[in-house]
Amino acid sequence: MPEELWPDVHATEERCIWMPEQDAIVIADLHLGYEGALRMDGVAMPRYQDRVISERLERILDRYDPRCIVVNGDFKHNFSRNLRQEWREVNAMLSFLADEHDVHLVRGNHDNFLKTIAVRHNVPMTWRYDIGDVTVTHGHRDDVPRGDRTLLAHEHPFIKLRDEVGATLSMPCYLYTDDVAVMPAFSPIVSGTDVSDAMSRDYLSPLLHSVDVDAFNVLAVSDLGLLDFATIGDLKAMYRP
Amino acid sequence: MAIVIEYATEQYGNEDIYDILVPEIETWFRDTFGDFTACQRYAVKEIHDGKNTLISSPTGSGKTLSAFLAAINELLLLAKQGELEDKIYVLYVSPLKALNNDIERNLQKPLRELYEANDIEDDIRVGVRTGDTSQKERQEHTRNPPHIYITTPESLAIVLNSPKFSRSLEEARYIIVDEIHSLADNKRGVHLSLSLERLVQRMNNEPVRIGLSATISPMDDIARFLVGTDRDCLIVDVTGMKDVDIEVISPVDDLVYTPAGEASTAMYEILDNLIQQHQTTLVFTNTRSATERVVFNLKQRYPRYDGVVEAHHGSLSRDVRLNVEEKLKRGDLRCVVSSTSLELGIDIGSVDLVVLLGSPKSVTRALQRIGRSGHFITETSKGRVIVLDRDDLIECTVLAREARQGRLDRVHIPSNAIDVLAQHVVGMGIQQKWDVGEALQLIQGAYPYRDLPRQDFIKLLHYLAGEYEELEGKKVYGKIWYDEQDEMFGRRGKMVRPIYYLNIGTIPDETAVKVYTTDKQFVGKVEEPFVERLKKDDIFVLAGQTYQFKRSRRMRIYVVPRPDASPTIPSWFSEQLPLSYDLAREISRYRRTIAETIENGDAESLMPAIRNYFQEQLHFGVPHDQHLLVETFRQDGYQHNVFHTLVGRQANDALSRIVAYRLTSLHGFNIRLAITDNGFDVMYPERHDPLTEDDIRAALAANDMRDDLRRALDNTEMLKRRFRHVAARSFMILRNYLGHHMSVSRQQRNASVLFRVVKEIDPEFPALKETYREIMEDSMDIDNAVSYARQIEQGDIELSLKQMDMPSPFAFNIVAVGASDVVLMEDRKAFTRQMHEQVMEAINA
Repeated sequence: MPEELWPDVHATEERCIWMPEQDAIVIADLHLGYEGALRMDGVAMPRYQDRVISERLERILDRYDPRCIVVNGDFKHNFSRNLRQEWREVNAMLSFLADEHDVHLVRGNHDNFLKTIAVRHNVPMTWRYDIGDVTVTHGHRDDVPRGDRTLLAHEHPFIKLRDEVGATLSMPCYLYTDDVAVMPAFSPIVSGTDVSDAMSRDYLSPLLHSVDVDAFNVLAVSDLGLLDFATIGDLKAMYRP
Repeated sequence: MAIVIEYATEQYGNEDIYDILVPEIETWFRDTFGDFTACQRYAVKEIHDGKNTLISSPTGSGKTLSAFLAAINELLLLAKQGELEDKIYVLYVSPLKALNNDIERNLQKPLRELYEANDIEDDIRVGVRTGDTSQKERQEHTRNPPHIYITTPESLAIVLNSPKFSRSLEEARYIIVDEIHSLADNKRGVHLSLSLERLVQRMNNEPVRIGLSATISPMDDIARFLVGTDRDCLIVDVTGMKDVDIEVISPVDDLVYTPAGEASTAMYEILDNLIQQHQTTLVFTNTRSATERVVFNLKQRYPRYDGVVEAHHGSLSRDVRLNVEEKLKRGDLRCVVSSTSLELGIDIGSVDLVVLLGSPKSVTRALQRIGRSGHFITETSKGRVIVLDRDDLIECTVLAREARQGRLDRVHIPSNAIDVLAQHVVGMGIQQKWDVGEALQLIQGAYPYRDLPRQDFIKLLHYLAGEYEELEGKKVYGKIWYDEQDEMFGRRGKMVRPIYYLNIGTIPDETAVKVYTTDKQFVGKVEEPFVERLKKDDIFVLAGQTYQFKRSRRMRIYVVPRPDASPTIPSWFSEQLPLSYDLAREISRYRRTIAETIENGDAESLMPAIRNYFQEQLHFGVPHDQHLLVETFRQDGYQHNVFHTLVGRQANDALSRIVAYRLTSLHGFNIRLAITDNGFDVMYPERHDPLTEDDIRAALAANDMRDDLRRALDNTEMLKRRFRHVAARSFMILRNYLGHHMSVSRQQRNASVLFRVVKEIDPEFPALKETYREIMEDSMDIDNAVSYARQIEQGDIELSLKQMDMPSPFAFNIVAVGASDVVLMEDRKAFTRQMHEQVMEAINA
């Protein structure tokens, strides 16, 4: 069941934000081409992410049937201009999305050279995008003006739970307060920030360095759907020795 | 024609051997040595006659010369006649770079003496190639091939693929593998065995293979490892000829209640006396920290040892180690304390006593270490074992008995290691096109691959060709092309050669893991093998302080200072040598004998320390080779269930994880484990009931043990890190690519992503399979775990379950080691639910 973070802004277990009144969804941090980048490093990486991302997207489009799709940065991963296959895929994915939806790209730190592709498909690309009363921005730069409600990405937040005998369970999550929210990564293979253990200054996003992160509410994505885990502060207090 | 592996029975006389040697050598030998040693008498003529020979003999027996004499003889003959050609006649391979330099000196000196005394037409050239050899020297080797070529397994694999140089290599008439006992039980040796098959296959004439080994068993397996599956070999075993004088010493009568300080003092007094009574003493401990501690204590308690007692271990710099070795050789030191670094054959001059502090955990290792004493074969090897607790006492008593009878534990040679094979397949492809059947035949000629299933080989070819389950897109990253129709493969792409050269080798890049507090203060470094075994909230000591482990991120771990807590895992845990299965079974049998002795009323005949220990245990029942005792008790908020499975730590590692996994599946709670050589402790919160006999029998059922162990390994640090090692060996991740060297941290990151993906899409992936195999068969001992479980099922081992208020004496060491592992519940949903409830409960409370 989607859970409302703010009026009309719902977190979903499919890792997208759903805004029914705006008929829009927001996804972030797909990092398309990540595998190609690994292969350039000499890693004999098989294809995996593309399939999973395609499946997830299909489910989302099926279930929420949005008119508008906003990508909150890092649609692609940073990879060399020489990876032709990867460029083709980024192109194909954008083309597919843009075909039947209004797509809007918000620029992330990995989105180099995406502009030309976006232009080709008539997809606008900006540093921030205002939809409803939410400002959607990636979060890797602190010079982007914030709105009353700011939706960030970039962090790839997850929590790590431990029980009394030390077993662990990791889950990507949404973080939110009244005016700031951070969405989980869409990519199944990127690493992220363990927010159950991190302090403000440990966060990737400079916008969060001045935020009291312990006040963030946590909504985890699991096989059982979304799970409410109170706040980061509460989680940390649990594990204090 | 049957393959013959046989023991040499014929000792030739001095004159028989001189008959085959050229006069110059005969003169030189008579002047320098006089008599031939025993192993020379068995081996020299046979080698001269072209027989593959494995020589197993202790230090100081003239082993090296046995190997070289026939070869030098031939070279000198040709040299005299001016017929020495520009090619390699002798290939000498050794695992140690330092040893190679030693041999060069031992070879160069006799050659120099021979040349000084005689007028010989041609020069015999000796060349060394290791990772440290300069480019200039290497080029010189190609221009002017040395007649005797000295190298390491890794360098051999590299030069195998040098188009020009390898032609000289293919002329070799003699192949000598030194320290073969230290190569056979690991992947370096496996790698070498394939290199040898590849090399010999290209030769026009079969070379003579000579292996030099220390004490090891079974010799037949080592012989086959040396010559491959298809050749004869003669074994010259003169290890039994050297007498072994071995004694076990307990520093105090009562190892339990004597205060630690007193016991320590007593131990150092004994050590001091022993050192005083001998010229040079070699002391072995089981960990590097113990080595440092002993040297420190000796110098502090006995200041006269300043300058004449030194430590030698792997963490010291090369210069420091060389310095100690030199001093030792010159006789400047009274005592050197080492952990494992001085086990191997570096010439260390004469040592007349070896002291083992604490059990060396295997008979073979004990004999190898003690064998370092008594430089000449006529001298007895003298060893004293000082025990540190009651279990040590029992263990060493049995070990000494086995050692005196020469009953060694068996070596385990890794079989079908796919990652090592991957490297060689790429190397083979670089060299030429191959027919799959022919290639497979070559590979199966190497002993470790004698049983390689064809389908595993095909699967490897697919993977190396860049084909995965998802057959889409170009196979840009294949290192070979593989034609399934024609059954051929060959090299592919321009990058393959540099990839092979720069990434070859079996030793994984391991770097120290940096330790930081959670507020980013640097604390120190620990080794990766230690981190492999860490779990959350473990408490350990570093730089004199105690810290609690919170989390790891690739090559860093984060901790919290816990000044008043006691450690749950010793820092040397990963370094600790495992008790061999064979010795463990002997100890179990011994336990039964002792128990029976006491029950027959003959207790007085036993040593007091042993008698008391067993009498105490009799209240609970003595576990032994026919009796498995499982005791349950509550302590510190936990329900403990101690299994007294005395099968050695490797088999217990497998057994305990399987048991924990099955119990978790049965009962649905998470389990913490403590694992030792003598058994394991299954712990869970005390609100749950102790195990029942049905639980235990179900947990120890012999069927499906391998599958359950695989499942139990999921999500462990060990699996992820080992996967990195295997992936690197298989060229799935590259340490060196396109001129970039990849840091270990980056390698781990790449490996983690790769691991997650590969697990999802193809569980039969070669690198993944090999990771499991390496862990289950080489690090752990799944085979013996299964065989033990079978014995229980068949009733050969009786099971008894005792519910107590406290642990039995035999259980102390098991319980005290601290939890060492955790097993995840398989049903993540139920677990998630449970966790969530707990967390919300705690928060709302």
